[in-house]
Amino acid sequence: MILNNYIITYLVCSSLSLVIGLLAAVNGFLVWKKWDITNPADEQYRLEKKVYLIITILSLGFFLRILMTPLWFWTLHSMIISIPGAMCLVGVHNIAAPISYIASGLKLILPALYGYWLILNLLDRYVPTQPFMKQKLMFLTPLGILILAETILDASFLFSVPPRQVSCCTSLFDVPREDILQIATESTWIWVVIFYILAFFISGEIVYFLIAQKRSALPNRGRWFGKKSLMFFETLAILLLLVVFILALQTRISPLFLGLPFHHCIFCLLQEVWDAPLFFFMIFVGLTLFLIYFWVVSSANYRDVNELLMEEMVRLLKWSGYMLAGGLIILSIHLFLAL
Amino acid sequence: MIRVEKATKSYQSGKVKVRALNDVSLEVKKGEMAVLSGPSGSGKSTMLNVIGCLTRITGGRLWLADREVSHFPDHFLAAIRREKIGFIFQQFNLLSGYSTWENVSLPLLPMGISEKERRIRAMKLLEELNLETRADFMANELSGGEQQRAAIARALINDPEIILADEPLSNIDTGHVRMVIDILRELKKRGKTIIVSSHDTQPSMASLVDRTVYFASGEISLQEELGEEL
Amino acid sequence: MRIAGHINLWLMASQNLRRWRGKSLAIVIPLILVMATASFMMFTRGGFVKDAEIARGFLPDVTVQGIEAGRVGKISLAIKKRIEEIPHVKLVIPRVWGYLPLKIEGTDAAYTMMGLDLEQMVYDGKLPWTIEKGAFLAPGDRNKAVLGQGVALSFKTDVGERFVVEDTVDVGERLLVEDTLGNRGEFEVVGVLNNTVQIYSTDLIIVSLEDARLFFGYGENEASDLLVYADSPENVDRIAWEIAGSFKNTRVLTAKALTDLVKEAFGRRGGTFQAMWLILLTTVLLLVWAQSAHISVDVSKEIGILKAVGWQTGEIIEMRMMESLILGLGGTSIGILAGFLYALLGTPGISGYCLGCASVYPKFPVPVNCDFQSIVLLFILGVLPLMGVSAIPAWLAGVVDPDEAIRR
Repeated sequence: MILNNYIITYLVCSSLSLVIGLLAAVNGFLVWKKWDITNPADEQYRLEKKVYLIITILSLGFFLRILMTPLWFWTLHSMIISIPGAMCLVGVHNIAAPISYIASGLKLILPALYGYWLILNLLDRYVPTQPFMKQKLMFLTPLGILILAETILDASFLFSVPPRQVSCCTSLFDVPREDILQIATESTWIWVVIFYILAFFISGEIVYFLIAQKRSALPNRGRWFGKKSLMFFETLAILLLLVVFILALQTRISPLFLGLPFHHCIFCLLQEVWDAPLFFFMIFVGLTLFLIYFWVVSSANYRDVNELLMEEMVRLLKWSGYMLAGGLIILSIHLFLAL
Repeated sequence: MIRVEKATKSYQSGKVKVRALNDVSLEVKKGEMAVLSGPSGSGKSTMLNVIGCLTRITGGRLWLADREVSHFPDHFLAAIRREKIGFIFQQFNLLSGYSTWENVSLPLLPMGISEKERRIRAMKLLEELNLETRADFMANELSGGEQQRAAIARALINDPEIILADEPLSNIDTGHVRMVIDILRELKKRGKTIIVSSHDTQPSMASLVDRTVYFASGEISLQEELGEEL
Repeated sequence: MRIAGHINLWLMASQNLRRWRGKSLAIVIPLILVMATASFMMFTRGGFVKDAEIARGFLPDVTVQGIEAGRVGKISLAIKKRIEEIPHVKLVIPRVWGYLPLKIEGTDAAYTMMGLDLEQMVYDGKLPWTIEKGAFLAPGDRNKAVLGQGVALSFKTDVGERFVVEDTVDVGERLLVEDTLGNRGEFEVVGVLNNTVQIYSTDLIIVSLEDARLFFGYGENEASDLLVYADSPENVDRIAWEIAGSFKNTRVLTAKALTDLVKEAFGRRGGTFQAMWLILLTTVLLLVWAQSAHISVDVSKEIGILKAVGWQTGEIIEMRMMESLILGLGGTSIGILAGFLYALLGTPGISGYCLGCASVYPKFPVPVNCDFQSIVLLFILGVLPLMGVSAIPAWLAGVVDPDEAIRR
């Protein structure tokens, strides 16, 4: 096992995250089983106390997860010198792919899921009947399982890295060209074009739903409330956009911004180009907030509480729009200058 | 304004379940002053705590300002306590590590009000209660009567509609009793709804009282409105 | 809650910590000690790593050593010409060096005598050292030496020791050395190096190639290693591969590999120490738990009063968590500062462990480097676990029943 300060620090954070996740999951399940709005008030109060514990530890867990994301990548970076052949993060990932890539992906997904829970909790607390209580408690069990899986993946990776030779990104992304996914044309600009088309589509949706949400209190409006099908569709659309974004970054944007035609490494892009983490973060957060909007309004109880939550939902959509637009603008300016 | 319908409240004391309130119903209209009377352990303080949203009922319903709050979650009840209710305790319950004005302004802290504004509001109330010269004294440096006045100021800092006072006259000397009663009179004049729990009714307060509720063993034994039995 | 509300809670949390000074100090003092321990180790590790990175700029692109019976031995100069013929090789310089075990103040000390080809090894900034006093050796110099600072400082006038020295050696003086094998040498000191890269230079005695050959018993066609310089950085790896492939009894080390080796060694050492340090951290966390989990009657009553006047459960929990955050940030900051100062003072008492040498002569100041990532790691280690163990006590405080608490 490679042993250094980063790995020890990461393992400490990972252990704390696991404890938080499991504690929240167990308590969440126990409260979910018993929660009933018609319970006697003092019985409900006892359950509410447990919910406060969950809120406390998940709030701490959210900040922990925000820190764990850069810490994970710093930790991988610190391992480069111990792995022969590894020149950057791709080389380190290659030592235990696909475990390493899945673990890295979870570093983005888990903060988003925590964020969803905290936003749902915040909205839930605006309404005396707490309509999303069961939903948010039920969510904790799969979240806890995911955190457990992530901890196992991280530990498997960190505890078992052998000092063997690996290939770095030139073998992965460069020759042969078959590694790069091609569609319709050999030009890698296609991914950037598809990305922008999808991004503008999503941006248009944000504007549409923002206007519609503001009018949703009127009679016969808000037809999309409670519709699970819309939630699934939007989830798929946003996931597709994210995948296309990664492909666009890898095939076209990284070589362009890094100034080297065969340098496709996204990790190097995020480390060496100052605004890359910024636009990446803004686009990711913008899309996540938009997704959270649909996950909330697709709840069966939502229609009843729409008027009470109007202001907050409009704010959610606005911030989603600001972040996505901001990220796209920064990316576009940089693309324009790079050309 | 305040309506309690068949409220029951039970505590678990070891293996024994204690019923502090048993099927209690009462109503206090806006601007009224009601006294909850009865011996120690009769349930009057528990009733006050229920109305003040400090404890939950096991059964029954509770309305405050025309909203049913029986099943409100904890943070909603806290907001009601902050905005609508002022509590005056028997033991004053000022925090010893804080000065008088800081104690008075405690409810304002989490609301994000600046220190300067908090002090202004606290001083205004302290002046009304002739306590402005003691504003910077620590709470444990005040006399009993001064502490009671500070506690009253704290209860009034958010201009609540409802004042709940648990045995407000029992821990102060005779000289201050008159003063506290005058304060309650003034509050009633301003339209506050006041509920006082007391094991004995002061004659000088009788003219203020619109309703008296007698408790015994967790139940209402007698209710009188303006001297007439209900 | 508005941001101003959170700020007010923060201020009240600090006030509470001042009120309960004893309890706060009982938490923060052990935290300071524990974080100071972690800090000085991290900063000294960082110092070694930084030294290695600086030195990389001065190291030869490739170092070729000979292997005899599986161990590093002499290398024949016959392969020098063949290496020079490899494309993109600019220069190949032989070097003779060896360890010089000497006694100083009754303790065995290890120095390094290094002989360089002064015709080719021109002092033009390619060397991992700079002259502080005097001058570097010139081509043709014999019986002259340039000393690392540690050597210059550690020699004293001691009669009866195995070697004889005139005094604290300075420019213009004579250095007489005799090692355990009976090899003797007499050199005039012409220069003293500064300590830009202490890890490499402090124990050096630099002489001419011929003097070193004579001292260590090397033949005309032998050297300890060959220093290979490439015409461009992109070709270094290719050259290294070619040498390794062409000459079987050699060990080929690029500058990057040498630097990474040092970094990894000290990184591992830092990681091992930190793993053991976790025991100390756990002890502090248990202490924090013991202090925080018990809610006294007075505190319970205070919380009951706050709730009675309208504070929400969440606000009480937040205030208690802020108390932990303030203690964590304060204790960690002071601990980091203390650790940094201790490292700057040379980690008195444990410098030998930090340096990892069997002996600590010549006097070698422990290098210190404090970088952003180390600070972040330290704050993560000092603050987050503390807040983790404080979460449940904060929750317990927050969910105190006001009516029960006030009655007490």
